[in-house]
Amino acid sequence: MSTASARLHEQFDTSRQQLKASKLGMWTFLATEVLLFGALFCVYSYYRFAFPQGFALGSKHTDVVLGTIETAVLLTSSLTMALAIRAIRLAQRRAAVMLLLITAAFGLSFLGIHAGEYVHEWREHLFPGHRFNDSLRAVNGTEMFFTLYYVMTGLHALHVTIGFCVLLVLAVLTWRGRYSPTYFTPVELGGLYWHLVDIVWIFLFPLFYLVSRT
Amino acid sequence: MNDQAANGFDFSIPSATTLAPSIDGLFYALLALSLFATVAIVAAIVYFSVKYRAGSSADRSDAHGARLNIEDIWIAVPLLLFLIVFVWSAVLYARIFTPPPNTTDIFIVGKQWMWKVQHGSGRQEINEVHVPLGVPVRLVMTSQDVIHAFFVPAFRLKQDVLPGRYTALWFQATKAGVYPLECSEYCGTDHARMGGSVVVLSQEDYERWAAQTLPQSGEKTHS
Amino acid sequence: MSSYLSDGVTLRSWLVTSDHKRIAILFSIAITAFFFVGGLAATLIRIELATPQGDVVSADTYNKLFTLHGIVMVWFFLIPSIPTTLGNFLLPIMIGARDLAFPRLNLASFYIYVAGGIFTVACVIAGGVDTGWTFYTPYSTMFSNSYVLLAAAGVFVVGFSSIFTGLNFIVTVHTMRAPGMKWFRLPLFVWAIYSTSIVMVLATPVLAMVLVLIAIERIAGIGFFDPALGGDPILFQHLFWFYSHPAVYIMVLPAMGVVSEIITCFARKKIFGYTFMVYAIAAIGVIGFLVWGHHMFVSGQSMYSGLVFSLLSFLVAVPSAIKVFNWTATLYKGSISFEAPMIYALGFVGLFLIGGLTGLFLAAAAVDVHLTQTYFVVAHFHYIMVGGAVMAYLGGIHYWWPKITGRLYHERIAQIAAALMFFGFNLTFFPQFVLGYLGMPRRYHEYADRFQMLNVLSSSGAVILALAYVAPLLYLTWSLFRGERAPADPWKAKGLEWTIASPPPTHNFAQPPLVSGKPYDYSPEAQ
Repeated sequence: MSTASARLHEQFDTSRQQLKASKLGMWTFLATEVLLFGALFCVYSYYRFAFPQGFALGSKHTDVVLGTIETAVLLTSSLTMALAIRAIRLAQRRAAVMLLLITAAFGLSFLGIHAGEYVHEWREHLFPGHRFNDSLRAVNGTEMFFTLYYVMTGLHALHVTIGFCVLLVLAVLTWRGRYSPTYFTPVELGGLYWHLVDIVWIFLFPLFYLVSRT
Repeated sequence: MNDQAANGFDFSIPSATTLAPSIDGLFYALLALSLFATVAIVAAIVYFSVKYRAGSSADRSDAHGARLNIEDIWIAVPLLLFLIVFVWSAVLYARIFTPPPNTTDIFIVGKQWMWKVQHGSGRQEINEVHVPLGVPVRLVMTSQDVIHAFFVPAFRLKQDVLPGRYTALWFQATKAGVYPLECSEYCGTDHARMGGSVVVLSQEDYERWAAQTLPQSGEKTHS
Repeated sequence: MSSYLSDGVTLRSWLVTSDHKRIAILFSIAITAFFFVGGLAATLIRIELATPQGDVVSADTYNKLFTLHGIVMVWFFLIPSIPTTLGNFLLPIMIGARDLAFPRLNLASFYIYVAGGIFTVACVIAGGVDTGWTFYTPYSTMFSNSYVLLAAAGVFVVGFSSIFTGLNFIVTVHTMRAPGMKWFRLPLFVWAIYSTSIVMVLATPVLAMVLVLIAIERIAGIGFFDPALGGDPILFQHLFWFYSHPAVYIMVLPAMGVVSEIITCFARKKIFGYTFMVYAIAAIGVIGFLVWGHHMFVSGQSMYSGLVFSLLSFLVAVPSAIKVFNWTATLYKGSISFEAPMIYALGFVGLFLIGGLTGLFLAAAAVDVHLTQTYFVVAHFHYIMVGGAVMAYLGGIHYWWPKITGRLYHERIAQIAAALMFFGFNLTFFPQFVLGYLGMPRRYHEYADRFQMLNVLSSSGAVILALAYVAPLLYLTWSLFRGERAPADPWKAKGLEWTIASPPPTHNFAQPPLVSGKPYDYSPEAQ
């Protein structure tokens, strides 16, 4: 691996300061993401309390098998992400690139499985609106459950997609020798973002797939 | 509409329910507190500005002497005053929100841009609410479309009127008369024209009025 | 002599600058333009309200005017104003840094602001939006026939400008302070901006989300707030006000920071109770997140919620009161002069006091039942936002004008304009407290005859206020070309920004300054 180090931007006095700023910037950004999803989780909580049966019924119609696979995929991708960073620290460039690409592939397969779920649900008339399954609509809150399901998993999928693109860019730059054991800040920041995306899913999964399945 | 003095110099409104004087009492207490605080601070600012203006011969020695006790005082005193006002308001707010038993219920549907009223007797009206004097009345309200608000300044009361839900407002009128009613939650084009009046009649007059459930000549009862 | 102004004279060097000082100037041009757009809407509103009949514009147009006024003034003027102009310019200098932590993100913030502005202008050109700046459902989602989505898009986009600015400031204050610039040596302006930034970063995403939900409901007809689908319109209000109450602290905290800087300089005395002032800034930021339900006392929320929010709203008034007392105490045994910045700052204290005290009326839930949704509320928030935040902003512009532009403005004209503004402001808004108590609802295109006299007073005041706003635009612009050149420290003030040239060099400091003393090291005795 190269011995690349960060170009010191002129507003900073030391690379240590620059690194500290970059990390704090990323954590602050992640805080905004928590609030963004947090607003939706509040909406979910409110309607879950208002419509317990509707939510239980709705949850039975999500595909818990696919959801579990998606969870396993994302959790594993967080592992490979962490391993990618470890590889850079150990100056193992090839391994790092492979692990970043594997992480991206996991992300892509997550999206693929999820798209499959959406298509299946569309066919089953589980998409809110005038096509929504009438017998389900009769139970108050089921349509609301699915509205929230699409909005929250959709927003999450958007974040996974952005993460996927970021991972590809990081893989390319790692291959080109941009990073080294002494400088890999963007990979670390990308890793933080990816872990957040994973954690959000850890909350979404039980709320949409496991209600009343215990 | 019941307009006050035509010259517009009237800064008062009637106080026409049992709770209105209490609400005014709290309002005026806050007004007194605010006037006192404003005069005190402004006077201090003006006094200091004059006495300590640049070039004046006032004594400025020991300008930075530690005076943290006063800091504590002016945290504790406002906090205490605020808590007193809070408790006073909380008790009154609970009374505003808690109707007594045995209210005379009147049903109201707000819609863009009018109030439709139905009495227990079956008599209906538009944009006017006849109510009996001296007994608790509860308005049970809902909206047909967007959020409106039923506001009677003379009663010092208002309540948002929501679609898909009932909300209630109770009062006991203390003075017969006609009092302006306004919609006070913005609801679209003619929000400013969604007014009317509350007509307080004596109990016998109200009962007689409510019993006339057939439409009177010229009276509008449906939208 | 080279400064950040002369360092590159092409348009391109301005439009792709990474210099926080130039970005501050770009922002100040944009927000000034929007201020006058919002002001134009206000002018039309006050012309209409001079007579009881709705005879100047149609009801729909009036509704669009007050909506535009609110959206533009809140999101395109008040929220960005002090942070993106004075904050951007001064924050790095006050802490001894060469720039913000992320200069390119700062430029992105500006262009995102412009993009949001374009959406909003497009909305107006398309025909406007008439939901009120508060976008209450179900009117905004299911009933309004106006361009809600364009407006929501504009606000959504400009929210990200806010988030990125806040993020930039937080990281800058944490990581780029000069040696010796400990937290409790920071100027109060920096503390104020820092606290504001935390609020911006945490609150704005919730606004973004609720706007997305409105858009989804409006486009797809599937709903979170539609009662027909089991949705709850009050849920919208909770989500909206969860952001919009902290938003008012985003607007006022920086103003308080400016006022602290000005008063301490023109009283030539260090601020009274610096530590308490810092804790007060922090307390306002934190407690400000807990009071949103005081906008909803009559909304249909439970009485118990109302009581909790009422208590918390009284508590949030305490730190503000502390600040008012401390500003006043700073004058004691000072050596006070009354240049324009000081007139603005003292005006702020008086008007913020009245605005804050009238907030207590509204925090008292029992009284709020009568006063909410009337002109009392309108008067209350204009006292804080216009009498407070706008005057503080103008005070700050005047105070730091020599530093930013290298020129001095004409003092006597500025003092007269400030006094005129104070008078015009009170004439415009004080009658509205009375109107509210008497029962005139807000957002009314026409009104009962008995309210006319007070409305005429208010509209007359608005004329004076408008003149007082145009005056600085004229004489400050004039000073750019004909004003006397400013020295590094024309006010003999303390603070790192006064140790460098007016206007500053591009990189602010030749080397990082070493900070050893406490802030506000004034001594009124030594004159």
